[in-house]
Formats: sequence, C-alpha cells, structure tokens
Amino acid sequence: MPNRQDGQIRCWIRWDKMVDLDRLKEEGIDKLYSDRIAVGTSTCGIAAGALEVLEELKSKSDANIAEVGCLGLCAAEPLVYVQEDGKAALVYRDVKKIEEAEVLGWFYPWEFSPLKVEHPDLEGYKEYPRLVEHPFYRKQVKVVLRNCGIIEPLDISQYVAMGGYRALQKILEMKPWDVIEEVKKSGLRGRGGAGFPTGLKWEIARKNGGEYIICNADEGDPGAYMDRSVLEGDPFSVIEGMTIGAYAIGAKLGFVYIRNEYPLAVKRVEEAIEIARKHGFLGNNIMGTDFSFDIHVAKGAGAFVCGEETALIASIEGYIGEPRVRPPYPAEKGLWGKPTVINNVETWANISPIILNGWEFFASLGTEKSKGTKVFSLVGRVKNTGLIEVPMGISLREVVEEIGMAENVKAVQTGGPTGGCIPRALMDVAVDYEKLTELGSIMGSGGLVVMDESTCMVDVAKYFLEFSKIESCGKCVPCRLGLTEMVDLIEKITQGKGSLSDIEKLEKLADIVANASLCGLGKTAPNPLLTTLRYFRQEYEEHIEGRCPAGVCRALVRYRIIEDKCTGCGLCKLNCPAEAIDEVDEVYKIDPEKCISCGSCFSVCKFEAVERW
Amino acid sequence: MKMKIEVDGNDYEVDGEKRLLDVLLELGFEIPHLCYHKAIGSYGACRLCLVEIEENGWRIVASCSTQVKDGMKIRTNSDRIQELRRGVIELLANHTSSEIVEKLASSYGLEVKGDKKCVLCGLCVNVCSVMGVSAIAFESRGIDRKVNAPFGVPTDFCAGCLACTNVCPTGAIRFENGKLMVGPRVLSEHRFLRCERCGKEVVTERLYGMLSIKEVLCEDCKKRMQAEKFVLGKLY
Repeated sequence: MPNRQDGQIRCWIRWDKMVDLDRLKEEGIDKLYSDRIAVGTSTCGIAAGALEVLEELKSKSDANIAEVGCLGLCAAEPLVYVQEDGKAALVYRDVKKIEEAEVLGWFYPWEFSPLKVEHPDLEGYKEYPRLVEHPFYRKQVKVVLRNCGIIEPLDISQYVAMGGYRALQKILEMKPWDVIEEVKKSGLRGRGGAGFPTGLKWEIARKNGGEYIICNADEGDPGAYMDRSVLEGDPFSVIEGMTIGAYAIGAKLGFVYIRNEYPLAVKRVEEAIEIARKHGFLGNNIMGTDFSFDIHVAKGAGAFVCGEETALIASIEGYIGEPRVRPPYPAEKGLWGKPTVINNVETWANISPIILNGWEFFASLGTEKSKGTKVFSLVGRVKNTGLIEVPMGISLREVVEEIGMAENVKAVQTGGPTGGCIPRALMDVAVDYEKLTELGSIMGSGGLVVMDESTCMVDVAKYFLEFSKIESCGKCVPCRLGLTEMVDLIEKITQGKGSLSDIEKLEKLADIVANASLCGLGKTAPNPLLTTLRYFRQEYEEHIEGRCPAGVCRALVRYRIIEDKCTGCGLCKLNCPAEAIDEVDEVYKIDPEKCISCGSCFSVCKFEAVERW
Repeated sequence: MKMKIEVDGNDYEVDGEKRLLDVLLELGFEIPHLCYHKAIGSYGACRLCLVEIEENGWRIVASCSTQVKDGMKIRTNSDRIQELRRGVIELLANHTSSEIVEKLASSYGLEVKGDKKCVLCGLCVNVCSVMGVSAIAFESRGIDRKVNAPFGVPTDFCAGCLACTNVCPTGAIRFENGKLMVGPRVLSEHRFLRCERCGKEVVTERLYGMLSIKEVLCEDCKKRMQAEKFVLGKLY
C-alpha cells in the first residue's frame, strides 16, 4: 500500500470494498417515494406523544410506516405526514387522535435540500397550503437540516438518495489541500459559538500532522436542542462531514462526544456508525481507496463545561473535565497531545453541501463575514416554537416575529446561558457573529429564548448566573469565586435588600470574571448580567426600591383579594399550596403570614379579583 | 536563542523558548503567582500572573501559560493589570485566609475575611501526578471543589513523599501525626518505620517499599555511621 503523502491523489485499490452508490440511491429512491406514513419520532416528538401515535397507526393500518426525525415545528408535534398515490407529502399537525388530525400543509420531500437530487414527479395538493409558504418555513433555508424529518435516520440508502456520500466520493479524488482550500473559501465558521474559521483550523491541524477528529455534541444550553435534532434526524450527514474532514487533515480516528442525557442521539449515532462501517463508508479502505478512518462514540457525563474544547478533550482522555490552558490550541496539541480538529455537530453537517455544491453556493448565503446558514432552537414566548435554519444576516425581528410569530416581545436571549439579552428596540440587528458581539451578546451554539412582558430581566440574569455558577468547574479563581459573589449580590437585589452600590459591585465583578478567567465559560458568563444592566438598568433600580415590575420576584410581590370582585367561588383556596386562603364572610382572604407569593390564586381567578401589588 | 523583549518600556535580551513568567521573574519583576511551579508547569488557575502583551492591540494573558516571542511587548504593571489583579486578590481574601494571601491582600490594602486556607491552586494534585503517584485529586466542581482522596476514603496509593506539603503555597495541605490532611479531611494515613539504631521515626512504610534502600536509618545515625566508618575504618 502506498504511503500517504501530501498532494498524492488516492488510487482506487480495493475493488471488493468499493461501494455502488447508484444501487444504494435507487434503493433509497424506492423507499423515499413509495407510499408511506411518516411519524416524527425525535425526542421532541416522543415527548408530545409520537410513540403512542405510532403504535396506534401500526395497529390500525397496514401501510408502510416510517420513523423520521424532526421537521422543525415543535409547537405542532406530533407531526405525521402521508405520501401516497404519487402525491406529495401531506403533513398533519397535533396528531393526538388520528381521526381528528388537522392538515398543516404539503411539501415535496426534496424541496428543502440544497443538493440536486434525482426524484420522481409528484403531484401537489390544490386544496391545502404549501409548507414552504407557511410563516414558519417561508424564510428558512435548510442546509444542515436538509434531511431532518425527510429520511429515516438509520437508512443509509435514503441518505444516499438525498445526495449523501456523493461529496465523500468527490473528495476522494481530490488532494487533501484542495479540500481544505474549498472549505476555507466557503467562509464556513465554527458553529459552536466562537466562530473560528473552519478551513483555517483544518489547515493548522494538517500542517501539524493532524491525528484526530472530534465532533462536539455536548450541547448543554438550557432550551437548545439543535445538535440533538441533527444527530437524531440525520446522523449520516455528521459522519460524512467528519470523514471528509479526516481525509483533509489526514486523521485516522474520530470521536463523537455526546452527552449521555441524549440517549436517543447516542443510540442513533452508534447504530449509524455501525451501518456506515458495514457499507464501507467507515473503517479500512473507505469506498475502496487506501484511505482509512473510523469513529468512536464518547459519552459525556453531563458537565456543561465539557463543551469547552480543552475540557472535552480532557474528558475523552479520562481526566476530570476541566479546561486546560490555551495556547497550545487543540489544532496544534489536542487529544493525547496530538493535533486535533474539533468542530460542532452543525459545522460537520455543513461540510458535504459545501463540497458538493461548491464553495460559491455557501459563500452566496449570509453576510460579508458570516456565511451560510445558522440553526436556532426558537423557544420561550413564541407561537411557533421549533428548530429553524435561517441564512446569516436575517434580522432577529424576522426570526422572532415572522417565523416565531411572537407578540409583545420584551427581549431575546441569544447564545445560551452565557449569551446576552437583546431588547425589542434593537431586534433589527442582523444575525451575524460580529453584530451580535457588538450588542454584548454572542452567537453561541444557537439557543434563542424569547421573553415577553411577564419576564423579569433581573430574574433572568439571576437564573443564568446561577446556571454558570453551578456549571463552573471551579478551576480558576475569578470564575469560581467571582460568580459565587455575583449570584449572592443579585440574589440580594431580587430579595429587595440590594442597594445601588451592589450594582456597581456587580459590574466590577463582571469585569474581573470576564477578563481574568481561564476559559470561555468564565469569559462569557457575565454576559446576561451585563446586557440586562445595559438595556434594562431601570428594572434593577426598581428592584432596589422594592418593586418587581413583572411580578416574578417572590420577595417583592404580595397578593390580596379585592372583596368587591370576589364571588366566593373558592377556586383560589383550592389551588393555594400554602393553605393561606380562607373564607371570611362569604369572600376569601389571603393570610399574608402564610402566603408564599407563588401567584397560583392570581392565575386561576376568573374574575380578576386577586390583585398583585 | 536570544530574544529581545520590551517590558514596561525597557528593553531586555533574554533566552527564548521559555515561559514569560519565568523570564519576568528572572528579570526581577514582581509577579504574584500561586499555582505555578517551575517543576510542574503551568496550570493557569490562580489568574494572578496576568500581564498585558501587544498582539493586535493590548491583550490580557496569564504569563505562566505564554511563551516568550521575539519582539514581544509586555506591560506588567499597568492600571488595567493592577485593577484585575486586585480584583482576583480581593476574591481570594474574601474566601480564604493564609499567610501568602494576607501578604498579597495587605499590599493592596485589603482585608482578609475568609477562613479556609486552601486556594485550590492545584499544585499538590499536580505534583502528585508528576511524582507518578496520582493519589489525590479534586472533588466536585465550582464552589464545592476541594482536594480530596478518591471517594473521600483515605488512600493507600499515597506514598507519603510529602511533595504536596512542600509545594503548597498556603500550608493548607499538611502532615500531622502520620496523617496527610487538608482542612478536616484525611487524605491518607501512614505508619512509620523506626531508625534501626536510635528508634526515631524515619520513613513511611509505603515509601520504604518504593525506595531501593535496605536499612532504615535516620539522618543523624547515617552521619554518625559515616563518621565512624571514616574514623574507625569499620562499618557497623
């Protein structure tokens, strides 16, 4: 076998290991466009009851029933779509009872994918709306999520039918440096949050003699589930991306680091790796060439800080998951001291469309410095919660108000627990790494939490600071002690015991934690505090004066029953967990001694007789 | 290789391929540091050795984890550095108390309010791994982080070499009555072998097992034996 050298073109040497992509494609097309009923059974679907629907369908119908990934619109889960009689797929929403299901719209299975794929002619529906015209889908451009919800996640033939593994076939005839050049030109930047140019990272690793590839699937942000959905809905796209990366940098071994809280994703990826190996897309002599590469799954125990690349590497090595000093960066000295490329799930899933459609396709999407698309999980006070993929440069307002159909937005939090809150007035900002940083937030891995008037911004800052404090590994002094002191101070403010000097102290501590900490967690942890202070300072001052305008901070809120409005129905008494409400002269009264200010009575009263003050 | 660097406006010529902190300390700059030891390498936990270097504008780095580069410009004492250093020392002073923290705090006019001695610099854990023993480690995370033996059970892997107590900057890890302790926690218990001549406690049982010595002799008895050999020409 010839030695691997730079610039050498791979020869096809193992005919017995060669893969017949066309045969797989034919098989996949048959399966994809045959009559079938597809049920979205990602974790989001299962939570909404998709498994019961699946059971019911199986018992009632003898049709071909497929389990697919997530179509994105979590608000309407369980989603079920039907393909029959040469017609396009018809999607039903909220399928709790099969007979009562409502139609959401119809779509062609290939229309979300940017790849040119062979497909039969299907007939659309005239009586139902098209899915691409639904407000949730209208502005979306799917690159990463191209197959999610369309293919059966573990059927490699369907993946190939949707254009899969063509990119790998293409690069095996290219020189590794050309692959790196292609990725560099595309302008793809790391989707884990920091936005380091992916091509440049690969180049550094190749120059140092790249040894390992890691896929970072340790997604721990509250309310974020992009990586999980991709791994559950389309694991092969990540595996193919990693294989291409391995070829480009010369790696022989790869790891997918998934948190153990994602049991379905772990299972799907493990099975997908096994299937890819069986078909000759992984292991020795990939697709009959002398290129060999394999992937292992490493399970994380659930520490948020293990999403930081050096902590992740320490965790794979079997050490305590705590960050190490950088430089040297992993691309120079990573796993077991060897050059390692570590990228996020979303980054890896972007690779094959870039290779297949060319860098020009990718670079045509997005803004000057931020190319391509970004996947967000849109959660919080929006009508259309779900997983979305939008081109970079789209404004936050479009995302939140048009796609999410949110009303009365107060602020949007981007970038997970260490991101910042952007107020409604600044929501016209473009989704772009630099623009978000200017506002004091970060792009992050893609959590988008929408808040409305019922949200207390001080409480939000407290929640995220507490999260960072709990998840801090405790290695460096500023993060360990600084965050602890910050949480104590903000707790004091939400108790109504704070003073203006506490705000100053908080700002000073935030500066120290942000600038003196060792890793990205500490460096970004004060962001929620700093942005809420910057845009909602008035709320902090009101808390110091003893008022919580949103009525969230319990210590500052009292409830009383207006006697004139009380009808004596007793609903409040039934719902009070503290037994603080009693009947006095046919109306009800709250005992302030016993009241824990939970607000149950306030929210259940139908006559607006409970007043918050 | 000689390199030219500029520190606080003055030019110096130094040996390259070294850590910035080592170079600055050799040049006589006072850079406080708790978690760095030359023999162990950088760990980057105490964040006291922060300096500013020029790299597309002034950037704050920990000098223990930065390599010297030719033409590097460094500020060790700017207002910004003083501000951050003071902040970190204040945090330490609020939560810990030891001689070295008291000294650092008093130089910034701060009061020590903490009670624990350990600053979690990691030197004991790291030196234990450098010694090839790795008997102790960190437990828990965040504010609950502490140095402990695995599962909180006194470990049999500790040889009792006491490298940890020697590198500890605060005296938090200590060896008392045959017990290696941090705060109230016992990390390891030891039995001593006594000097064959005078009966004084000399070496822990486990360390004796690791060393290739045959006789157990205390320092004084060794000297005495050597002298007897020299004077009398015979060995007991």
